[in-house]
Amino acid sequence: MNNVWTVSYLLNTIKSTLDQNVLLKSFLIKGEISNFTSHSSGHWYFSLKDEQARISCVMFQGYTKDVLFRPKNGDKVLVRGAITVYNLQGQIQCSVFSMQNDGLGDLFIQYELLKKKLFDEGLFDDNHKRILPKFPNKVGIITGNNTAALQDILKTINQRWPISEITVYPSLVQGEQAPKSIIRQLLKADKNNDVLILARGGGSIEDLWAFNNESLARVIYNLETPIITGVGHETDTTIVDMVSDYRAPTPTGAAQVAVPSIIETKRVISQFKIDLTSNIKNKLIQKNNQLNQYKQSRFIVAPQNIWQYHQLELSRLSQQLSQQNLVVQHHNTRLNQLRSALNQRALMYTKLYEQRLNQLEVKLNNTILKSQEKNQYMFKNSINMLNAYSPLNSLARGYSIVKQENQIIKLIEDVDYSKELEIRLYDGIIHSKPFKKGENHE
Amino acid sequence: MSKNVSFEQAMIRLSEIIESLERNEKDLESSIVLFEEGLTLVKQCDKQLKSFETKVSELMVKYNDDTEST
Repeated sequence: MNNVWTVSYLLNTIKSTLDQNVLLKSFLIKGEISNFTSHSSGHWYFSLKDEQARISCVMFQGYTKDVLFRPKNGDKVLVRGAITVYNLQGQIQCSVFSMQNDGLGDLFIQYELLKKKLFDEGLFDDNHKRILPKFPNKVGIITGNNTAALQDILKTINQRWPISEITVYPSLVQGEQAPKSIIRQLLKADKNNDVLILARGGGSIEDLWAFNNESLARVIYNLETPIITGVGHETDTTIVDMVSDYRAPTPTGAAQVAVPSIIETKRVISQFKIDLTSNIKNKLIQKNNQLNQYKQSRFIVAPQNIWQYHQLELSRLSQQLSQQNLVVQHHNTRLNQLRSALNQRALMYTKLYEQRLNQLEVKLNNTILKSQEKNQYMFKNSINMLNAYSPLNSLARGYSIVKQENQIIKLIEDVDYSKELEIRLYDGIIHSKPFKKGENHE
Repeated sequence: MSKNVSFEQAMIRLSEIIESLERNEKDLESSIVLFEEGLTLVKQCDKQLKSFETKVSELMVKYNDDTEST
């Protein structure tokens, strides 16, 4: 007995088991109402039964307010609900979201079936939905003539975008003939407008039934002009709403979507102007900066950068060339060595011959000297001979020479007695006056 | 290089020239030719940009009053 569950645990287990089945989260169920109680809180409590079974139901106040009739015991109804577990009572119950009375039950089923069929065919696909024009010039309105819906639409458009051209295509919007009428007007309006509005004011589900028509849905799907629908109130969603390009909650809502607000548009335009100006200015600044950057390129600023590389290349090559020069230099050195060797040898020979030459010179000098001595000796001899014949020797032996005015006096008669005589002796000269014979000088 | 090159094209060409010089892939003669083209483009772009700026200021003067008054 170690696996004893509490009651709560059991009920929670049941609850989570049921929660796993998605089919139980939203289903349609048909039955007869019994034990109907309307609580003061606004919630409804009742049972649904058929011949063999019954289930407790609760419909909360949030949902009951949308039910268009007041249910009573014995009413046959069609409800949409989900299964919940009510722990306090240990009950499985149906939580009801919507309720139709039995007369409409068949319509409701039809609606659901059509919706599924068209959905499967892709009539509601988002990627088929056309984009609404932002500024439509021509707006076509398909709605009931002289209806409040039409007045709402016209008023809204005239307030928001008075410059648009409006065409009204009056149509039946209720009853068996309504779908055909709407189709006819839609086809008339298509291609002649920029956008269409198909609208109808609020009403009961039966009133709006024309908008759940399959042919109408297919015509809308194939329209070329974008279409906005605003059928009934916000809570009503018809097939037409699902197939249209835009579903507005009400006719007024449809008009608001169809045309832009002129006030908003003015604001947008002035913003555009600001953006435009700043954009172009920024672009100019940006391009200017870019151009400046290009101008700052080292090649533009200092074009020598272009050939600097080539200069480097040139100096590299010239260096290589100068290495080649080394070979030449080597040969040059070798040549110089040979040249100096040659020079030394030449010098050696020169010295040798110089020595020989000197020797010869000495010899020659000696020879000359000897011949000079001989000549000197002969010269002395000659002088001696000359001396022997000189008059001076006669003077030495006592002779004298008398001169008068540098004339040697050989005869008495040559003497001029008025002039001085010069008498040359061996060792000197005597100056004297001549006297005539017998003339006493004293 | 033709005269009717658009500003954008001229800018693109200019950046190509500078890149090419930067990569040092051309011989000196070609580099000098590029250099000359570059200077021509700089002048052209400068001129065009200046004319754009003038045009923008003119347009702003011309259209400003209209839009302000609405």
